[in-house]
This record gives sequence, C-alpha cells and structure tokens, in this order.
Amino acid sequence: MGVYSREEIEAIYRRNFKLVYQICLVMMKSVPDAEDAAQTVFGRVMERDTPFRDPEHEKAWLIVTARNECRDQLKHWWRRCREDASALDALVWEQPQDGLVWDQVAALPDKHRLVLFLHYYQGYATDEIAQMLGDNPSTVRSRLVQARKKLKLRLEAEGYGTT
Amino acid sequence: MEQRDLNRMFDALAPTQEQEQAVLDRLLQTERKGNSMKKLKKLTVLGIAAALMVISCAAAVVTGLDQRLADYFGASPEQAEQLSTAAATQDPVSHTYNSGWTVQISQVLSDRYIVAALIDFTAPEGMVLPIPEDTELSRELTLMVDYRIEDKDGNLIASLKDAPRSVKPDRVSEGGGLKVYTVESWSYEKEGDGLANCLYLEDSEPEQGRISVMWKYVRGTKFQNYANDELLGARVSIIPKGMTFRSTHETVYFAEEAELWSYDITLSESDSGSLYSIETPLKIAEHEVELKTIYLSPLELAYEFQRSPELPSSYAIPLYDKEARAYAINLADGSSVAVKDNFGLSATASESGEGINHVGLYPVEFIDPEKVVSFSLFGQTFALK
Repeated sequence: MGVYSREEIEAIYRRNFKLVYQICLVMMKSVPDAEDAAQTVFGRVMERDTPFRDPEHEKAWLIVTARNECRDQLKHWWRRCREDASALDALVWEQPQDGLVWDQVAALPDKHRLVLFLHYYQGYATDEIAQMLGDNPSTVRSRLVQARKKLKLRLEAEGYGTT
Repeated sequence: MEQRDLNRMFDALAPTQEQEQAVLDRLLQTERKGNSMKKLKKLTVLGIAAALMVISCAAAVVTGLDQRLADYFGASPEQAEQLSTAAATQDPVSHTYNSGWTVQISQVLSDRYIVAALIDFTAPEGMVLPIPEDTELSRELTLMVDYRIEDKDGNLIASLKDAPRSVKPDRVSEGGGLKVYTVESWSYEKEGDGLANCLYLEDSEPEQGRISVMWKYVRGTKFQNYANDELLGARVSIIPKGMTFRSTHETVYFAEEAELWSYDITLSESDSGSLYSIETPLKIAEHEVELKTIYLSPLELAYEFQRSPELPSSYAIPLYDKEARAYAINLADGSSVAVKDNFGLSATASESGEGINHVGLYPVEFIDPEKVVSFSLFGQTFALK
C-alpha cells in the first residue's frame, strides 16, 4: 500500500501514538473523536510513498497531520451542529484540579490549546512551532501570550489555587 | 497556576494501553479492508461501465415526495411540493443480491451542488443484525456506500477512494420529529474534493433487519480543473457495498465484488434553485474578498467567494465565527431565517489562497425560495433578484 511494512507501521505507531492521540484529544475534546482522528493520522502514514527523513521529521509530520485532520473534522457541519456537553464524559481525573484546569483549557480556541500543548508539554520553542505549523512566529507567540492570559483569568475566576 | 499544573493535566490526557491497542487493531483492520478494496474498485469500474450503458435519463415527472425526505428538510405538506422540484426521480428502484440483502433507492433529490438519495437496506429473511437494543445506530453501524460522479460531458468529477471509517452522532431534526444521525465520516475522494455521508433515519427497524438512510453528496471546488463540476446533468452512480457492526466487529458485504449493484441516475440539467451573480467585494473581518455568487434552492443556500492570493492563510478568515458571519436569509415579510453549515466546505481554496471558496449552508427551517429577498453575511446584505 505504502512504503512502510506492517511492522514498520506498528513501530511508528508505538513511538508516536501517545503524542498524536493527545494532540487529537486537545483539539477534539472528545475521546471517541480523538481515537478516530488518531487512527486516521496513522492511516495516512500507511499511505505514504516516501519514508520519513528522520525521527524529527516523522514527529513533525505527525503533529501537523494530526492538527490538519482535527481541524478538518472540527469544520465539519455535523460537529458544528451538535452539542458536545458530554464529550469528555469518558475522561477520568485522578486529581480534581486537573479537571478544573482542563475545563478552562478546553474553553480556549483550538489554536491556543494546541500551542499550549506543544510549547509547555512537548517543549517546542515558539519558532519551532511556527515553522512546523506554517504560521508566523509572532502569531504563535501572540497565541501563547493570549492563551496564558485567558487561562490565568479563567482559573482565577474559578478560584483555582485559592483553596 | 504553575506550568507543572498544566503538564500534569496534559499527562492525564495520555491514552491507556487498552486504547492504544484498540486503535492499532482498528488501524490494521482498515489496512486489510483497504487491500481488498483495491480489487473491488477495479471490478466496480467494470460494473459501472456496463451499467452506464443502460442508464435511463431521469428527468422524471414528479408526482410526490417521500415523507421521510420532507421530514428531513423540515418541509410541511404544503411545502413538500416546493421541495419536490428538486426531485430527480420518484420511482423506487430495488435490487436483491444473491446473499438475500435488498437495497432500495426510493427517491433522489438534487440541485446544482447537492445530490441526496433515500436508501433502504433490508437484511435477508431470518438474519438478526448484531445491533444491541436501545443503542443509537450511529454508534453501532458503519455503512459502506461507494460513488462515482461524472459531469454532463462525461468527465469524472468525483469518486470515492476509501471506505468510510467512523461513526458520528449528528442531531435531532427540529421540525419533523425525525431523528437523524450521521453514520459515516466524510470520505476521501480519489477525484474531486466533495464530501459524502449517510444519515440514519429514525424509521429504521434494525430488529426487523431494515436500515434507512439518506445518502448525501456535496460537491467541492478545491481544484481549478474542477471548476465546472456542477451536478446539473451529472451522471451519478451509487454503489452500496456493505456494513460493519461495531459491537461484533463484523463486516457484511452485500455481494461479491463482481456482483455489486450500481444505482445509476442522470440528474436533471434544469436547476431546482437559482444562482445569483454578485461579483461584489465582501469585507470579512479586515480582509476583502470577492463575493462571486449566491445560490438558493429548496435544499440549501450556498455562496462562493474568491480570495486574493496575498491572504496569509485560508484560516485567517473567520468563516466559523458565528457572530462575525451573522448569516440570515431575509424574507419578503420582514422575517429572517438562520442557517447552519452544510458539510463545512468552506476552506477549499488551494493552499496558496487562490481559487474559489464554496460555503454550503442550509436553513434551519424549510423556506420557499420565492419568498427570499436577500441574504446577509458579515454585516452586509445582498439582494437576490
């Protein structure tokens, strides 16, 4: 089907599933949707007719493909018509405050959520994120600043950290 | 809040081992299915070629409209006549496979950009579908419906590349009391960039072995060489192939590859809607685009605009910002009707920003196109005369 054998696909999957799934969950805010989107992303790997240049290329490609897949799905009309109040029912928070943080992160625009994840959790510099996602570095920095600011205000309003 | 709080929360979003394995299993299952699809595709093309020889032109005389379609589009009995102007055919056509499965296509509606077909699937007598009681069909079932569309000159403008892969809940209709769910994910096309899906209809009786859906295709405008991919006069082939049951991971194919049935129809060349040439600048946020056309039919409202290449990204335009776009269909009596996205085909211009963006919408209630006087978007109103 593509350039990779089944074993190679599985190896790429094992190396990267957590990353891809987390991006999809951050973007989609729904466990079933994130699983579907992650599956689609690795389906695209199967279709590749050229191998990745190196592990960094592999990772960056997966991040961008996951972002694009989720963005396409989020634009979809059925998704925009439905309520997603129960979307995160399947998430269980061992620490209740994590759920509170997530609630406020989830309320941010998807671009902000993704930048927060890539910068703080994955450790990418803003320039690297910009290059990867094809955005202007100043746009990424601006999103990060706005995301932090909004998150801080929202969490303060929720009384986070005061108890 | 400290960064560690954020990271701990992201940590908690990590998948479980069970999830990882389950998705991998599905992925590899899809691969196997994909391999068989290749062979199936070749045979399907041969089948279509044979079937096209007996295509009947279907500018049928319309005498009625299936109530389920009227319900879906929210048309009252009085409005059904208006909706029936979009009917491409009325006589049901059915096919029974050697496996005992029967597929019936009861009616097809179409306009310039959309084709929709009402399809009933009936299992062989005595067959119990492995669908648990009281579950949403959309969560249990994935239908496989292939398609191929040629324009009126015989140019291929759309064909399905992959089988649908996932199941999504959709919505409950507001007017007709008919519950509708999206069955399948959008489909990646080998040609064209339209989108198709199926919507489950509430009158499905899975315990009786009958599933009813509305299959719907909306054309895209991504590629310049498909600039003329309107559906007027198009030849559409719908090829039902089978269904997958999620709870048991079983896939049922209606027939062997060589015996797949293709429902073929030539859509009417006359337009059930009206295309308004606007050719006027439209300000969207701080960007200016050219509003090319507005299209209004009993099935949808759509508009197309051309972006200038210097815009940095197709996503710079807030097409999905409900407050900014402020869509409204304005009627002669002074009232307005809201609209919703129809497949979200908005960002289909090329990456360089060139090309036409097509935005498909549908009114939240059925409207008589003749009563529409204007359409408002992004704070501007355009008369439809």
